[in-house]
Amino acid sequence: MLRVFSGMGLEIEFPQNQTCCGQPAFNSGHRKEAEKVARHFLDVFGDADEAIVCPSGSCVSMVRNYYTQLFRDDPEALSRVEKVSSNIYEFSEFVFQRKETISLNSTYRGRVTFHDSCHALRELGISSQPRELIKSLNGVELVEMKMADACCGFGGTFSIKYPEVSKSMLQEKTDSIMNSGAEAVVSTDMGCLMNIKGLVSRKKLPVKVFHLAELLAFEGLK
Amino acid sequence: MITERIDFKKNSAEALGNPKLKKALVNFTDRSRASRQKAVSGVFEWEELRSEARGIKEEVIKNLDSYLLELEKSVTRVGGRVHWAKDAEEASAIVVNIARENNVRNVVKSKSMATEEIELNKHLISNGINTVETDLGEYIVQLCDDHPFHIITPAIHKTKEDISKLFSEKFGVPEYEEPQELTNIARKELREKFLSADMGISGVNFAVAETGTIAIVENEGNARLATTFPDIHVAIMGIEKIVPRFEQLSIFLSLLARSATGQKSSTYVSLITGPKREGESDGPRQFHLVFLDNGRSEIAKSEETRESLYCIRCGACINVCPVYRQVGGHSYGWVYSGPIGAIITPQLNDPQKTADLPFASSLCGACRDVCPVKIDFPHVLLSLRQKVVEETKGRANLPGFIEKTAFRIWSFVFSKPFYYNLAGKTMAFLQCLYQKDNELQGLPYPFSKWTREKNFPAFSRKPFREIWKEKYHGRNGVLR
Amino acid sequence: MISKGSKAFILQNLNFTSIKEEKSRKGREKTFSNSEFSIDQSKLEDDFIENFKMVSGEVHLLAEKEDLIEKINELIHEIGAQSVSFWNMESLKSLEFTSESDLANTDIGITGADFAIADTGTLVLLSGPKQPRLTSLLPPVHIAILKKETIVPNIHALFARLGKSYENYDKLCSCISFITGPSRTADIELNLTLGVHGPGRAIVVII
Repeated sequence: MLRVFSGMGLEIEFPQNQTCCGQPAFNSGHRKEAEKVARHFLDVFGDADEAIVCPSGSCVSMVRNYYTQLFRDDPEALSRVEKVSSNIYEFSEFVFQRKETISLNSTYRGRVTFHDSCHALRELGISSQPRELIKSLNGVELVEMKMADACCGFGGTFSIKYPEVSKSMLQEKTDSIMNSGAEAVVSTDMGCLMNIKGLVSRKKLPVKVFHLAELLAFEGLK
Repeated sequence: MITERIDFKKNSAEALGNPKLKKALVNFTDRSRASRQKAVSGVFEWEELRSEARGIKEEVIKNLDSYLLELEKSVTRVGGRVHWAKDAEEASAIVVNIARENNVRNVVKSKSMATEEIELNKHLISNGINTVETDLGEYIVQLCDDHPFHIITPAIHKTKEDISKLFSEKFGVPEYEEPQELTNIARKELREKFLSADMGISGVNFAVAETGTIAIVENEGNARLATTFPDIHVAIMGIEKIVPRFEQLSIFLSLLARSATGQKSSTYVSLITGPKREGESDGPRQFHLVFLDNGRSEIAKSEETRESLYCIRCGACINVCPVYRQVGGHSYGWVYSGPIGAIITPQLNDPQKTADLPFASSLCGACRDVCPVKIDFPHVLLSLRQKVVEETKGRANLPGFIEKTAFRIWSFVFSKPFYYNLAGKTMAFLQCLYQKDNELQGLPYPFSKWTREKNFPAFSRKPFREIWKEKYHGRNGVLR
Repeated sequence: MISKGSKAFILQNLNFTSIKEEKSRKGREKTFSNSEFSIDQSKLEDDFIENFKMVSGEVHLLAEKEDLIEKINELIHEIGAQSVSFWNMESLKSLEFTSESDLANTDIGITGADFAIADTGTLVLLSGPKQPRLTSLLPPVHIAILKKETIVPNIHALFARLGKSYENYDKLCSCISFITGPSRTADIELNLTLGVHGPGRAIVVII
């Protein structure tokens, strides 16, 4: 991400005391615990005037779509939520909005396929942006896998609560990746990537797993 | 009502271990998804229809008390009778009573999830009343003493070989394998039942408050037969099925067929308003409508989960659900499966016994995208999860207690940057026990649930914030 | 078991908000119309035919309404029917058959159709003393006679039309049947089979 932003000539700040948006607890039903961590998020990012860019659509959706629920009885927090929501962006969404300003010099060559992260796709409406960015790379071909928009089975604590079901979903996903003929799979959510990579490396499947940012700023063999 | 705790983990393990079932599920979900998509893309105002339908449902549920009274009045005006049932037991008792009063011996039933919910067949049969399911899928399920696998296509887990064997055993016919031949056998068997039936029982897809009309949607013609041939028609409806005005049916009928089966219209839609009129040669002499509450009025009270009652039982959420695709209908342990089962079952039953279900979802949201009344499934699931967690008290429920404690610690660590950094470093230090090629394997409980099947990424020895400080900090967009 | 108090219990439970919203008495705010379909009657006819055929229905188009009896005779002959049952309709007065009353043992049921919907290929039949419901349901073949001017563009237009015909909903007929092709099921491995309970053949003669 840093390399991509550098290439865009952006100034970057990384607040040292940031942790998490609180989604893991929220999605598991632990509202109080989620609220505690979310408050910390607001303390860190609530007053920022800069754009807040996040490598996972899931976290962005948490802030944009669910903070209002979490803080619905707290008007003071809600006003900070409103500000932060209008400033927070998922990575591909942010980069695509400024695509005129980027000079991408990824050295990656080959066929890639894109996995839609559920929350980016269905809660943020992100689908064409990452694909357009991939297609804009020289020497990279985007091939669509069957059911690119199907969940990979991660689902946060779901993958721990029902690992067998989660695994079965993931198996279908990796089958679909392998059948697409791509040499690499790209996505925009750390959760999906961790999940997919987990099985890919356990099974030693001949496919690379990249975050979109890694592909856009790829500096491989020259 | 369910009596034992639904063990989603155990149920789904059974399904996952059955490759034949998996094949059937993939075939079925692929095809229904595609046909729905095709049907929906032909309607340019699809989104407006969804919004309008949702708006109508929102208003109906808020004013359900007065709409029920209006519906009762309308049904009575056209010569029908309304019965109010607060729970499953009472609804069954009402139907048994109507049957007894009229010396009914043979009942034909068309498909109805409400009657599945109250286990009506069991009650009728135990009172000596012959009861036959007449929807082909339900008939197959009844013949094998099984439960429906899907709210629209109940026998989708049975192969044609299974059905062929079943028919051969039950009716002494050769083992036909062509679906058309099997269908013909069922037609012959069931036609006899229709002709000797003295009561027909149906569900209700929609009930119009202003006219007292009920709409029944189907493809086979069994509901038409069951509501026309016998002298008595008893229809059972969940109290949420109301549509205020007759004209509004056009919106719901447009949405239902396309969402459910990808048809532009189901083969048959019957709009029934009361018993037969003077001079008519067919149609029932008596028309009874049973209002079934069975927990619904409680759901209506809850602002967070009220939208569960907007459901029109099309099954689209089930067909797109990646979890259902793996585990099938029986894993959800009750009448309703898939996403709608995950939200409805816990609200119509003991929350303690159904606590697994709200968690049986990856929250991917595919269900919300296809729902014709825009039920926000993830929202309802999250709210139900919260309820489960809040009701988990003390150490009686050990996994629940451990999880709660874990999240308490987590929230402490993740709201204090100092401890967060420390935890990261500790993990990076401890992980050497499990590390292999920059990935972790064989982690202890509960992470073992992850590493049993897949690797976990290793924590970086040097946290990103340190790398950032060295390479980037204060350099205004220039990487060192 | 059965308690007189259930009605009160349910209503009490539903009385959860003191400020009830104004009921949507005014009806739909929006009128839905599928603009793909023009009001052009011959286009409606083509659309109906296309959609009815798509659901395995059969269509015969007559140039003159005088040809009806000949066409019906032709169909009866083709099907090899021994008995037919039909609605008491003016246009069928000169049919040389007597209407069979035992519908369960009749080969063909012939009815009219009060309306048809173009964009779904649906026939709409209203019940009445002269229009029994079972004629279109019990025999293995259903023939419906449809006047082309009764075809409406879509289901929304149909309900608007029904609404006009029934100024006062007290007089709504006991059963309105929508029929879109022959009886079908996909309950066995999603294989389409016809004639499971209703007719296996649905034929429309358009005049």
